[in-house]
Amino acid sequence: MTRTSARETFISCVIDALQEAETQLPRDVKEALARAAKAETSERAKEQLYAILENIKLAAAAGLPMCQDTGIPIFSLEIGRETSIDFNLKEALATAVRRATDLVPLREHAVDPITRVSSDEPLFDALYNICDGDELSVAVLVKGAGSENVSALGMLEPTQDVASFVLKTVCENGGKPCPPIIVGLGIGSTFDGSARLAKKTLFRSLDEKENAFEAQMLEQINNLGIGPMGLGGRTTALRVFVEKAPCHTAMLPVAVAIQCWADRKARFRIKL
Amino acid sequence: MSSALKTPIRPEDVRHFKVGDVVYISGVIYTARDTAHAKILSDSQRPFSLRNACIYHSGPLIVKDGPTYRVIAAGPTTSARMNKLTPAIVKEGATTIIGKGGMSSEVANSFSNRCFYLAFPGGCGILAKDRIEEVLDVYYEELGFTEAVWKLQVRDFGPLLVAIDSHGESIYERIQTISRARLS
Repeated sequence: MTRTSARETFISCVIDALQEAETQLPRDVKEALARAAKAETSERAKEQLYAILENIKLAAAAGLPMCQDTGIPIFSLEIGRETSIDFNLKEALATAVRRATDLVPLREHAVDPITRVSSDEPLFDALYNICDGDELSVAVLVKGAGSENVSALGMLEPTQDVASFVLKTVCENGGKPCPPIIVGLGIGSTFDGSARLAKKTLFRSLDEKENAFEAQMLEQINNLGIGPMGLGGRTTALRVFVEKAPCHTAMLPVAVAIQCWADRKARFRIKL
Repeated sequence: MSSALKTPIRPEDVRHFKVGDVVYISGVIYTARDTAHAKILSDSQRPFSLRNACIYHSGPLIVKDGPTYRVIAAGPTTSARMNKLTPAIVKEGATTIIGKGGMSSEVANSFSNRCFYLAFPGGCGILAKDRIEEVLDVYYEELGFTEAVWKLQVRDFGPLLVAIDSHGESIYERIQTISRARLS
């Protein structure tokens, strides 16, 4: 019997995670959508949410991707400092995405940004963090273009209002990101640091207790009345996540990472 | 009001619909997104006619199974990206645009009683796939499967909400006026 290499084990776990994320929406997101459908008073908003819930059910039953935009897989890797990894993590992720493209299947929508010609390079992004422990913990978030396109980064002046920038971003984009959305805010740090903070919040569970600022932002966003698919209603966002970091006294970077209702996530951990 | 429509849909068929009505379409629809719009408009030997055509903003997930194409998921894409080129598509005779997220006031104004915009619930790739009976043809395959134009046979495709009617009335504009007012 040949021993499966650590690389192969890792790759097969990544493929399974991608399969799960694409075909089965996490329980916390499903429950939030179901609650929203009940809470809506407009028939039109209810109908959009019931269609979404039905689609989620059909996709899970058929084992097929719930949305044709199978998105950009964003991986977050927590690498225990006691682990010993004898393979190239980035290469293994690329191999997993390539194999998942045939297996799940995923849509082949990667192009060269200048020529716009189809690219053979697998499309994904990864955040690598070193942490304590002897495990490798991987989370994947699938990000569609509709919501990624309306995410924004503002290098505000220190006296400018963070909430206004966030509300304006959400308001001006209306139904484009497939609301109800999940909003991840990265406040402070640097230009790229704020974007990373914002992206990382999207890995959090909707079950987590929200703080006062998050609750207030959510209420203000939902007061805009954009509603499911931008057709009006109470539910524009299901949740706001905020992460902050110190910044230079002359700066106020604010990143708004927007995720569509298809908040596709999965995770696994392995010992290496 | 909920109605069943069969393609080809003529200008006189869309006129009596008002925002808020619900429509189900049976017949032939064509997918087209960013690059396909430019290609369709610049092609002097366009392989299909836009007259009374139904354009679906979608980049379906389709795989090739031997000689046949299999649709895996086929929900709508964000229509706003097609804002600039849509008035020209309408001018060429398209009467029905299906998508999600809405379109600009310029697009709404270009409808002038002969075209309407129908919203399919965004992200609902399987709901849409289940209403597609057959892939009839594919044009501009060199653009890749996502950007190519797929000629699809659909049955009771919907629910489609009349979100911008042929008179230029738009739910999205109505909602945006409200949300902008609440912002200030």
